[in-house]
Amino acid sequence: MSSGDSGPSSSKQLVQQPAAAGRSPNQPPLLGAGGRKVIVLKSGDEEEFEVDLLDAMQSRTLRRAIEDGCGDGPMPLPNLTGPVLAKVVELFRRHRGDPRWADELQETEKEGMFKDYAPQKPTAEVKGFDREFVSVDRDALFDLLRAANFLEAPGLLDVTCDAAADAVMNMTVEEVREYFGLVNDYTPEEEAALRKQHEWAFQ
Amino acid sequence: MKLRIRHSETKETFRLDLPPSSSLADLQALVAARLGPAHDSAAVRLSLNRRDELAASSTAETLQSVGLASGDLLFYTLDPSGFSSSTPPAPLSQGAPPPPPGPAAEALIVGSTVPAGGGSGDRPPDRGDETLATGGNPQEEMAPMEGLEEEDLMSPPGEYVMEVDDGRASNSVPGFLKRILEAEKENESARSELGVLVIAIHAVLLESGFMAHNCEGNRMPDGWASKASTVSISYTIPEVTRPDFEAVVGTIELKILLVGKFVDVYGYLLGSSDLYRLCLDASKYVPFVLSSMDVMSEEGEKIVFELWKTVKDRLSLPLLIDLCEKNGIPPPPCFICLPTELKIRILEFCSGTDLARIACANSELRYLSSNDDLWKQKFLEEFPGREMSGRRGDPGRRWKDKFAACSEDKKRNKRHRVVSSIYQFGAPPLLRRDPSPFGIPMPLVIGGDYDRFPAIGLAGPSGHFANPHLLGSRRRKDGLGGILS
Repeated sequence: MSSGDSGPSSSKQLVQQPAAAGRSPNQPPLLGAGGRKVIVLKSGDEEEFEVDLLDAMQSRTLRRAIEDGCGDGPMPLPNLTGPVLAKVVELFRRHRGDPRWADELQETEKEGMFKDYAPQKPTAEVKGFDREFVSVDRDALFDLLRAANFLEAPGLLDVTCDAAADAVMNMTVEEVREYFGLVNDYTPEEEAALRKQHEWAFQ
Repeated sequence: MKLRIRHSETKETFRLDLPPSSSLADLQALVAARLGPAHDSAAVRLSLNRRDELAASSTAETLQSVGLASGDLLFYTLDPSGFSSSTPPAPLSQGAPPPPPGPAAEALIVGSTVPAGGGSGDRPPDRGDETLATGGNPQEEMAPMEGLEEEDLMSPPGEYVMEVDDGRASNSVPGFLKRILEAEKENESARSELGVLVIAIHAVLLESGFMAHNCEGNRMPDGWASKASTVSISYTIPEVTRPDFEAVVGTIELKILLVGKFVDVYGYLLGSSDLYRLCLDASKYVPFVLSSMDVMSEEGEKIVFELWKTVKDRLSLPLLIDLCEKNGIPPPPCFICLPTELKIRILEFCSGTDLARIACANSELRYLSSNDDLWKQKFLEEFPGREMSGRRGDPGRRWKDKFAACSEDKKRNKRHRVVSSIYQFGAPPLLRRDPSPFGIPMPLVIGGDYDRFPAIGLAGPSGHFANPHLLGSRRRKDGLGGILS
């Protein structure tokens, strides 16, 4: 991200710019003065990712940390791996302006930092990206789910939970057990009774 | 100690700050003074849950020992019958003063097995936080739901039982509790406040995959109730008990103590300094857990669910994951480790029929997917506009049953389309096309009576009652016969 000049005037420009890597080393990260545009996230395996401050605000966890002034150096996220964090950062970038959280952001905004940050409906392109984003195997999907939970990012949560629900769509009971890794703790009689009770769902 | 004091009717709230050594009488006096000079402190009734009055067994008892902690929300009323007076829970076993809450208590209780220093890890040592989270105010939490449930509350009680017999019961009584409560119903200790919560916690741990030492199946371990105010139970998991497995740490231990009105739960791996701690408000949970053997109220279901979720997410799962990690066993499968909220969120994205099948996968998922609000959402999504029509609008019915009924209809209509083409010469088309043979407008009759025709001569007049559990008894009382299927 070519971190532009300071001042709120640049925030609009940033909204339209795709976030690119490469922050000027001369630009000290600052919060509150309106000059802060990029924060650095550090995964558990020591990979660093730069993310637009506004994009990072999609995560309530990150937002709290930034507001508490923890965002000056690289922000360690030990329970996220590099590949997961890379995906998440990309999703945040694509979902910039997502109304699910932009409204919330504007309510809590301070010093006019986000005033140009208008909510915009996700475009078809974003939806396509979301589908692509969750076309991963089961374990990767659950990694993303855990990341979403840790980061408290509504957009990410919706996308991943939806994908998990889609994955078990039309599955048989045995397949659901297999997919979720569940142990069948019913007695045969209990299970038979339950299946009878839910007969309407088995056709 | 900072407390919030709220009038139970007007909801007017103010804050008080008083020294920790104050007694209940001091608090009453302060509240009365706050209300105005004309008020007598003895007339002020206080309650944590707006039902049971707080009572101290002696005037010297401090607020802490009646179960109050900093940050608590208390309700007051001046109406002498405003709260039912309950006998305070039996104080700790004679002679043993209640341990002061906070880190000191942790050191005191587990000091023998766990290095005391840093025992609480990163968990907040202040009991106030815990109390706010678990011992809060049920009414406040329930408030947003009241509007939605109004309809269901209008239903005459007892109708559930008759209509869906086992259906309703198995939806509402959490399977995890039922098994153990049944196994222990003869046991006197299982009726005490501590005993009930111990059973509930034990049930959640078993459901998570733990096994208790010296105990079989759904029973409590032998001698669990030997002491009045403290229960310790140790658990293990099947993986580490295999003869060829050399376990690093094979056991986790729970200590459950009754402290005033609260039950403190400590869980730790033997030899580890990581300690998980819960503080549960006994007066809040116990009545509902006990009533869960019969038909539970909506509120009861929510409270028991909250208990289940708290124990699961904050005690059972972390312990299970730690134990696996210590022994180098792969952690439990991904889905199991997700927090309850996330599991529910995934279920919210599933379709109704998927949900029903998921409920058959295991008891945890059945419990999670039995939430009536979840089914209401599914119903409104998949059968929009039909919630009030005909029999589906019965206020007493659970949304899941309504969903099942509508789903049956839909399926039957589909089947009928196929069947009617086979039987197209079997009955006069005009008669079969009349949607309302009695001249009554019936929006839901689509296909309801039609499938009777294919059944004639095959299965007899009642042959098409697809699911007698769901529709049986009410239908027979219905003067219009089966046409409103």
